[in-house]
Amino acid sequence: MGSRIAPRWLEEGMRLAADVVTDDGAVMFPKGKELAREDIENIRAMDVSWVVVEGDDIFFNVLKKEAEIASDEIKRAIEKAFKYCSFSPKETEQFKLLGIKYRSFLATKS
Amino acid sequence: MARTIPVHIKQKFEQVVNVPTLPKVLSKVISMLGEPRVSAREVAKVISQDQALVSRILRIVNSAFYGFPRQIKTIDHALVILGFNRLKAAIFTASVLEVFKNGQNNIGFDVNGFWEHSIGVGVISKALAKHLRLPNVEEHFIFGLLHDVGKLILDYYGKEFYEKVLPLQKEKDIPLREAELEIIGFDHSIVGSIVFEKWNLPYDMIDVVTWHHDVINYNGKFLQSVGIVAVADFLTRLIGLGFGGDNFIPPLHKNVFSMLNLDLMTMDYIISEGISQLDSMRDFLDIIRG
Repeated sequence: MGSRIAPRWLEEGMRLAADVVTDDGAVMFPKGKELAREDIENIRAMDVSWVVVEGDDIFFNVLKKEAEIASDEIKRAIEKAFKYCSFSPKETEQFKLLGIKYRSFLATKS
Repeated sequence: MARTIPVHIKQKFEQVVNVPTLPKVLSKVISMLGEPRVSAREVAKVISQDQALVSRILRIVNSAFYGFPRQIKTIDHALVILGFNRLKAAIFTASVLEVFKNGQNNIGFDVNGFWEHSIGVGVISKALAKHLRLPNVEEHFIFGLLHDVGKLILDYYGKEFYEKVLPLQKEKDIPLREAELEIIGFDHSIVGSIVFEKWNLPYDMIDVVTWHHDVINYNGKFLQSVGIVAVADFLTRLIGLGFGGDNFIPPLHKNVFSMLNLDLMTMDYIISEGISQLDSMRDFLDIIRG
């Protein structure tokens, strides 16, 4: 399935696990392509929301990077939101990272 | 699997909720849709007696949700293009929305935020159903859209009580459901359940509305659908889309995730699938507003 990340997290040497997902469903890059700087610039110029790349480790790294730069407001809201949930600390942490990723994304859209 | 509702709750319900009656044509249509041998043509004939209903159904079937490039102009045409089952889902949606049009009875609940949340649950339910390769993917959008409709029923038709629930939720900063239980003695899922049963809506829809906060105790035949909507509700609140009445994520047993074979990366994929459809679903908000 690959990891869906925002184009701003693309780095050279990453390999596309699936086609670039554009908002209108167009397919722009072949699967398995290793990204060079020029490809990254092209993808960013397409203004797509997500790119699918290979590697679960990329997914978690990107979630952590997203959380580092998220606004304090989003971080406070997500902390509070879990008050009534009873997952393990690790599960809670992972869900929070996922929540921060999309809350940050939606904040840029509104 | 209908929840067995104790007599004292039913009695209290009658005091709290002034259940809206559906327009005659709608009742007739819903009753016909429950009959196994009814023909699509017969249903279309009855629907055509109510032009407001016809118009609302056509707006739904012409929305970006169905994504047909050519405009559908008649119920008969919709039948041919959509098929009976998908048209049924559109009719049920139009029926429920009919009860909340205009909003004159609203007492301060954030209705726009509510519908945005509901649409979010709808698109994520649909994405989950598609991922799980279920045959009735579109119906899951409707299940998600209507899962919390008990809140709206209380807001419009039980306002004497909801006027106390909403300030309590704010004052104590607790989940809306907790405030409902404290003031009324039962929550919006019971309200939705009783009203949907009175309206003779389909059993799968009733079970989703009734059990989405209690999946782990549900043992009926629509477990996947109930689980899907519960997870979609969880994820929609996780990403902060719309407003479900409070800012908390509802507790959900982790077995529900494993029952649907969902890990974090799959949920990430599902959310991105869901929100990629969000813009095209927003014309549902216009339809809802009438």
